Amino acid sequence: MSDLSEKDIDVFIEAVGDYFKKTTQEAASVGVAYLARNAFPMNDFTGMIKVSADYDGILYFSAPSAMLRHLLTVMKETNQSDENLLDAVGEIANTISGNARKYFGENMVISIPEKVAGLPSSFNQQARYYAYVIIIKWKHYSASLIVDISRKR
Amino acid sequence: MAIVNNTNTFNKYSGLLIAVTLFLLFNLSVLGLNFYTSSTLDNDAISINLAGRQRMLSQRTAKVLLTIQVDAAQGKFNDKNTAELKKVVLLFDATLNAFKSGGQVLGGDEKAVTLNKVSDSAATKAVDAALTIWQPYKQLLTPVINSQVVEESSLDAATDYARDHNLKLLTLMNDLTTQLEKNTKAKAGNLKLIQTIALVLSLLLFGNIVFNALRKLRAADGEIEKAQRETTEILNTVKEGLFLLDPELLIGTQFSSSMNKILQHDISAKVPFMPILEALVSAEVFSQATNYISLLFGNKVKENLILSLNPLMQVRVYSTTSNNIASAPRYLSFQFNRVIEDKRVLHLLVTVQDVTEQVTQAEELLKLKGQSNINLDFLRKLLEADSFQLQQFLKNTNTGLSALNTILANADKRASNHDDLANQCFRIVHSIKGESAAMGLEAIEAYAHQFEEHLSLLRKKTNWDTQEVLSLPVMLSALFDQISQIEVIVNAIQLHLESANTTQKQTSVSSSISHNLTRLAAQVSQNQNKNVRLNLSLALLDQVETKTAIQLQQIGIQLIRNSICHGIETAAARAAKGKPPHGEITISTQMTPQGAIHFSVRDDGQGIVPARIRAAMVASGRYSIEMVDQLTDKEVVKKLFEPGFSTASTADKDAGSGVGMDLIQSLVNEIGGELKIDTKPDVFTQFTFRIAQHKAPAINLESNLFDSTVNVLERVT
Repeated sequence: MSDLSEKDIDVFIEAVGDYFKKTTQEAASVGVAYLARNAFPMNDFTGMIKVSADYDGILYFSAPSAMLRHLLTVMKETNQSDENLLDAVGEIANTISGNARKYFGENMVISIPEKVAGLPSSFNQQARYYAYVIIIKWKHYSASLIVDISRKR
Repeated sequence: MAIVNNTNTFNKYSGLLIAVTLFLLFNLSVLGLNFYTSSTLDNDAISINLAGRQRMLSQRTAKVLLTIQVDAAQGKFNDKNTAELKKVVLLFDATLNAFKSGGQVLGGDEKAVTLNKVSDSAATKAVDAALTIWQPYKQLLTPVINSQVVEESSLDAATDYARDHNLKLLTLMNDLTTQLEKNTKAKAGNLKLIQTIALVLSLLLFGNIVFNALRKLRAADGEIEKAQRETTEILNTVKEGLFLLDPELLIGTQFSSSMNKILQHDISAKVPFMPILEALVSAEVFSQATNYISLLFGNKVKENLILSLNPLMQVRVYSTTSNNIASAPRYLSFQFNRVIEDKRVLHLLVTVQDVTEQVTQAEELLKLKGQSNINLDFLRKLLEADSFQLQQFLKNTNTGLSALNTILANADKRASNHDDLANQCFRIVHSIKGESAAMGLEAIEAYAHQFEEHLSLLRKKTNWDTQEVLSLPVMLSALFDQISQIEVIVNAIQLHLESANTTQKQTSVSSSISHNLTRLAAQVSQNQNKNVRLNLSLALLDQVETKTAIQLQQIGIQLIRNSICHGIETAAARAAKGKPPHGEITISTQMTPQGAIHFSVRDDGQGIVPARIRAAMVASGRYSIEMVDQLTDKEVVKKLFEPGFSTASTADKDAGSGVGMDLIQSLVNEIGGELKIDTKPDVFTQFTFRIAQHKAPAINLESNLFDSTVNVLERVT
């Protein structure tokens, strides 16, 4: 078996899309998809999932604070503290991890999602030669889904 | 076939047929017996009647005799009485003798009837006793009958005998009658009994027939029902799609339930199959399939012979729904078997299988196989390659791929559509493909070709789903991986050479490019099964910038491919035109007195023929006949530079993707200069690129197509 396929990557994207559709009735869509090396388009708040077993690497969902604030507003959440914004990004990461667990099964061991404000510390160690960057659009905001996961050969 | 069927039917219903035959035979026998008994009873009736008449005759004899005696006492004689006596006596005598030994007598209606002799003992006894009395009586009566006058003595003797025996004779005749009646009654009783028994037996036989017939019918119905149930069970369980196709191409009444899932279409009985197929496969495959199916319905074609022609043996199908799961590539396999009766094709049994998994696995295996080949083949090729050229190739490829990635990253910032995006990617990948082919790096060339094919598919779609959007970075990543592997190896070789204090023989740019182009021409002409000689004169390339030389090499690569695939004819076609069997391609560099460099590629093929381009434009479906007719020949030739346009009807690894000329145009734009095309049908085509770096890029179309020598300079942007 070779590398991650488009179907594998789509599982993560669908999770984000489904999350937005369920909570806001408005689906998120894919803007562009490209490759990145040493220059991930990180935003204010980031949810991270580390994977192991047959796979190795990290998945990031990074969203700007304005997007998360708008999301909380739509969800009728008035408390828009940084903590709550972090929780929102963490919940999205949780949804992604749930979907991935269902799809990859025991071949992919997924850690408990971590959430950070600002740049994550693990940022410098890349699992892939080139990571996949998918810009996800919701309303006029753009979030980044960065799939830096490789399959062990 | 028909005989076997008849035998089977006979075996199946033999019991029933035998029973019916027996029933008929039995009834016929009973009918015969009835006829026989009825005729016996007729005879018995005659006997009874005549026996009764004997009683009457015995009394009339006595009465007439006594009348004659009374008349005689009065001295009278009436011959009428004598005549009557004679008649009565003769009738009684004949009848009594007939009772004794059978014979003809006069019946009641004065007609002769046959009287059977009596057979049972009581009747025989009565007849014998009556004869004993009658014989002397008759003798005594004879003189009375024969006398014409009254003879008192014989009359008295007869009268006395009559007085003594008349009653006894009457009693005997009475006994005979009674006995005969009794016999007849007994016979009639027997007949009734026989008829009753026959009727009962007949009813039993009939009942048996009906019972057996019903049992057989029920058994047959049961078998049919069971067969139907089994068929339904099979159709409900079987994984494959199974159905019958009739000559009107309608789906039969029974089909497997997996059909809906496999074809992703709601199937019902008697719906036309072709529209369902049309929605699944490409237009080309559909038209091939239509022909193939009509061929199968032809009674004269042998099924085995055309088996290999089946265009649906393994076919990629397109989803009609838009959700992501369904839009993953699927492969189906359709098999057709003819159902023949009386040498006529009644139906086609169609078996459809989803072979996506097998195909994917095979592709996966092929990929793995390719990868393992890469290592050995690559190492050899890399060791052989000129290190400078290799470094240049890696640099160019990395630059190209990074540019492609930038295009992807900025896709939504441009106003361009998907078609445009695919075209931009196509140009880069095509250039990598060409260069890797020239370097002899077949694995990279094959991968780039795969990438191109994928882009061709995407180019046809107006909307890309998420997985299609993702497929581009996925393929790009794989190509980056391959290039990075080569980099690792190349660096290792370089280090090894440096540590061994040896350096590779430095070859000039021109000889390296010559080497690459020669290798490419050999490979493409072999693929296309054409005989081509390549003449190169590229020494001047050492005097231009390396980057420009590499770009010119790229132009050379595309034009060599075009010449071999589109320009140079097959050996047979060339022979027909009186040309030498091998085609010739000449690539040369020349310096003008003004110091400008001309890079030209010339082939002696069929030339650029506007009519062919017009036909290809119409066939591409992008242009209508009217639109094509409105264009001048020069405008038509310019279409060759349009992305995605090709005069080839099918694309292969070497040509037909419609991107080569587009790439040349972008290289010309990049380097800066002027591209001139000269061509004459069936004689030659020459592309001349005048490099003038500070001039705006342009394409000059000069054509000898119409024996004109008009030079037209047109700006292409």
